[in-house]
Amino acid sequence: MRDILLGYGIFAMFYIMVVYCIYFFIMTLSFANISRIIKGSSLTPFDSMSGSAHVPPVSILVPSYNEELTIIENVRSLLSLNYPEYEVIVINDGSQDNTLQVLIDEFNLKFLPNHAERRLLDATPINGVYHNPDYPSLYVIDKRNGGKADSLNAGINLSHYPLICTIDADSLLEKDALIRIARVYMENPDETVAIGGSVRIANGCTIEDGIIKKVRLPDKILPMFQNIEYLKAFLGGRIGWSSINALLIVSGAFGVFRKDYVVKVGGYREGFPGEDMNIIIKLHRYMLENKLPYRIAFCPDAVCWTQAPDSFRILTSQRKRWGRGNIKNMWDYRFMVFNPKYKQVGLLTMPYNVIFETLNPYFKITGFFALLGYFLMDMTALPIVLTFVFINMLINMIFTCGALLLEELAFRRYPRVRDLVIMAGCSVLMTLGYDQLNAIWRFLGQIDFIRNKRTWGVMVRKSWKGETVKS
Amino acid sequence: MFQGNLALAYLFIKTASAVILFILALAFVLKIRLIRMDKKKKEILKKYEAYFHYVQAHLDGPEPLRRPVEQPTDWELAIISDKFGEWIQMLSGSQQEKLIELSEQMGLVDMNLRLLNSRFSWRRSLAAFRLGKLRSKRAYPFLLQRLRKEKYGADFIICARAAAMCARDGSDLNELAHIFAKQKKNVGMLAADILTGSPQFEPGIVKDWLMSQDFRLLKIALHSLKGHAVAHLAPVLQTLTEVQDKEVRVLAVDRFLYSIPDLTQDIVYKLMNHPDKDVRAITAKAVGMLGDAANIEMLKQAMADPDWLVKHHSAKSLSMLGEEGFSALCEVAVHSEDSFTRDMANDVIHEEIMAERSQV
Amino acid sequence: MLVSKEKEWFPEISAALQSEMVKQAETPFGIIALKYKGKRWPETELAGIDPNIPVRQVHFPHLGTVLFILEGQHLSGTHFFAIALHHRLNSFELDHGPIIVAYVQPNESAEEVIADVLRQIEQEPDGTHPIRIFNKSPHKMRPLLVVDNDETVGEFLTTRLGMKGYHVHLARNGQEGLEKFEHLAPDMVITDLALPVMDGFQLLKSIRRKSKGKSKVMVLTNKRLEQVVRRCFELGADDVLMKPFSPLELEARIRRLFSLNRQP
Repeated sequence: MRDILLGYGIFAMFYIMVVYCIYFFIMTLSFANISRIIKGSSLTPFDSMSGSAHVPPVSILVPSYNEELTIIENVRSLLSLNYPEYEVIVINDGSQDNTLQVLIDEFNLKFLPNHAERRLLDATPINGVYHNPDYPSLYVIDKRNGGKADSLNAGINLSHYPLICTIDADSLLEKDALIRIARVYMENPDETVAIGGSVRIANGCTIEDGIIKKVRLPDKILPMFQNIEYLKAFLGGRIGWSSINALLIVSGAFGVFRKDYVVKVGGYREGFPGEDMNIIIKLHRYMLENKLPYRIAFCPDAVCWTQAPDSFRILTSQRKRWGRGNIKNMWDYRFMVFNPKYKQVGLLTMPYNVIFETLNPYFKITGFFALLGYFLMDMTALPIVLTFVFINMLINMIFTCGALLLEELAFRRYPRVRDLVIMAGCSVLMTLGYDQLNAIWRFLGQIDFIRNKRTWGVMVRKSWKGETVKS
Repeated sequence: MFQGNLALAYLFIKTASAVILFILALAFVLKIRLIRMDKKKKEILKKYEAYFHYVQAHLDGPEPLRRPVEQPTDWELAIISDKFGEWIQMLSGSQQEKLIELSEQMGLVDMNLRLLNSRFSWRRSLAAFRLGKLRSKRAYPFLLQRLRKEKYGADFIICARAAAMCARDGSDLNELAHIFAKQKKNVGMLAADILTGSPQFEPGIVKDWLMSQDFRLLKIALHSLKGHAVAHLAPVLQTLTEVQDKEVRVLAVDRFLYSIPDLTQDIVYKLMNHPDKDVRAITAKAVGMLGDAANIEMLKQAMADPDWLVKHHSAKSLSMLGEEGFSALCEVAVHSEDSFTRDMANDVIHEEIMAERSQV
Repeated sequence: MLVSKEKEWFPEISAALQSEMVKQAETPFGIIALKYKGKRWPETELAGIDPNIPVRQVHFPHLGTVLFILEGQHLSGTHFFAIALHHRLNSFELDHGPIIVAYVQPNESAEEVIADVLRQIEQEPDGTHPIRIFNKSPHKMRPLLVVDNDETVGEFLTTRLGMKGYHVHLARNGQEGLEKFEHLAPDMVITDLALPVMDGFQLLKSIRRKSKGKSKVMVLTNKRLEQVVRRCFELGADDVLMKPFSPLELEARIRRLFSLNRQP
């Protein structure tokens, strides 16, 4: 029995090794591409581009549900981006609060029935469109509640421009984020179907007038861990994945898409979380099945700031939701896994995602229990067990430190030396519990999926206005 | 067996720890270096504050600007290069030229030309970027030479932009346009942004490119014409509206309608009945801007078009054609057989009424 | 005109101007006034900053000021000399107060200019810019509000327009711009369009609502799209200028708008 447990423990460890090797490969790619990214992001005249007539116009879609506290600041902030031509379309998704009225009052919007709606995509019929010619770039769609994906589809129907930008109503877009993404698009407009931006954690930063004035680390531990997690995911992961055109997800909080292709793949999938990964998978599939050259890119210097949940309950709810969305997408598109027809996405990203995101929790949890069982049966094996645990920690630390190095090389958002010290320290702490929590959350998310849960769980909005986002 | 594995594990732990410490050390070194560099930059800016003030204050006037008394170090030259680059970008006219001249005298151009030959691609691109901001015409041949060696990518684009900024005349831009046209990716939009940003750009340059058989060059030309009305190019643009390539066709229609001094009924008719829906849509939109009441009947008919965009632009254009146009729109709202068309007309009428009310 | 207190200075000023070369007043000359700290002024140590330029120092001990007279130098040459002087003083670690650079043209009264300069330097606070250009017409200092979040533009316009006699105030976003507009009631506003919080169009509209036609508004933008220019004029802008801009053109347009104000 003891040997079985040990054998299982070792097997789980080898399995995890495979995951680590793939991750290591991706991170190496991130490093390999960082020079190109630094050049593009610091040696481009964004100021003059932001007035150029040749930069493609963009429709920014802002699905909103119960955002009365923050919607005005966010819309005002979006209306003053450094970008030559764009529109902001707020989609009021049947809010129960005063979101719509607040907008109407603030911008003096007038009602337009919009009966002859353009039906590019199927969406819940809209009640109407609100607009004021004094604010020619702002439109507000009012519709019955249908969810984020449904709202995006409704927004696409109204949009007047060939590129769409999806953004969360509670996120803060940097003034030059959109022009930075436009630069990436313009380098290869025919083949670029989607570009993702970076999402950073605003907790602890000083925000004034819709701009991040001081960048600081979060005060509380949970947002701090999430901060490091995001850095790992975006800098260590997405740069690498996108460089081999194997990016599986463009953050729903900030992404830019070619409208025509989004329409061709049927728009956003409604009724279930994970629509941001879903649209990307659909795009990959469409382009590969139709043998069209394409790329789904990532622009790490285009930044959108978001509030990270600081309460355990909300964070758990969010992660379970992500887990559910993830496994739903993997299940729906399981025919693509290990299928050579789908090139990198099918042969590398999706299998990695399945192994890492989906199956990893089981191996981690059962492996952990196996080791624990082994230890309980034979106390003298303590050094062996500890060794396993310690090696695991170290490998995680290497990756985290790699991400921190990428941050120092290219982005350098955190100005103080002590910020780096704190982040390094917290990386150690993370390996002692947070990483394991992640596995548990994913596991719980999968249980929810099996139980066929469709809700979005707990979310709480806080105002951005002039306060340091307390965390 | 076990002991051997354990020893291996310990070795692994040692190497892993060493790797972690190494990576962290690198990160710290980078951070500290950046903080030091920032501090040094502030010091240099403070040191030269009086000199910068002098330069800003005496940009007009016939006297040439003088170099600082002590020749600045390379480090200081880099900071000054950035500062002057910012001003040169921001200004135009004789002041800009004086600054460009001063930059040359101070050796900023030479310093960056030296850097252009660096082994490291980052430094080369940085040098190119700076030269572009300094608008140094002398640097153009060197930038062109470097550009020809680059594959399409970040370095290429940075170098191309710099070359466009440093271009001496139209033929230089012509050279650049051809280099862009040789690239495998469709870079029309980007090339247009780069070329039209050049101080040497004027719409007439585009003529040769429009006559070319090379579709990539054509696209660059058409993108570059955005917002420019060039009447003598109208005939060429018109022929391009019949072309196979969709992008060329659509761009050509837009530029044609913008450039042509007087639009005859024949032409409008032909375009409004073009098989390509995008051509029809663009024409419908342009007709409204032109304000010619003779087109009202054609717009009315176009509202029966199956394509949404054509309908929409036709309705909008009718609303822009005064009383007659508006009443034609009302007729459609009442008499059209198709309910969707009626709805569309009603929507636009509603918008017009709302707009009028808010003006009162 | 010299006021009674200033008559004390007259002997020195006369003495300074006694010199044959300067008395001719056909060649212009530059003046640098420097307020030094401490009791002694190391006259000899500062000789020979630039051997090609003949300089004379005139001492005003009760004012703690020394005057340098640079024959044949125009304003920019004088200014340049002042920088060299400033560097030399720093290298000797000689602490000093503000420096004012001025320029006497051939048909100008040298005494009056010198008296004005001395007056100004007496009131000049120790502080930000050690070297200032003499502002010949302080009473003409018209308040002007510049609204731009681009630091380069803000700094540049403050320096240049300040030198031309305008009193420049800066705002970094539309909201701040509106607040400063209400508070300062400037004669003119120069604003960019892409501003945070409240964009240029909104600012323009708000200004027009508050001040019908009294304040002039010029839009300075890099958005080279025709619908943008159209919209600016529709919303009541008095002028629109594209970046990159010529400072001379900007100043000419500012003067023109100010002169339009004076029409009945």
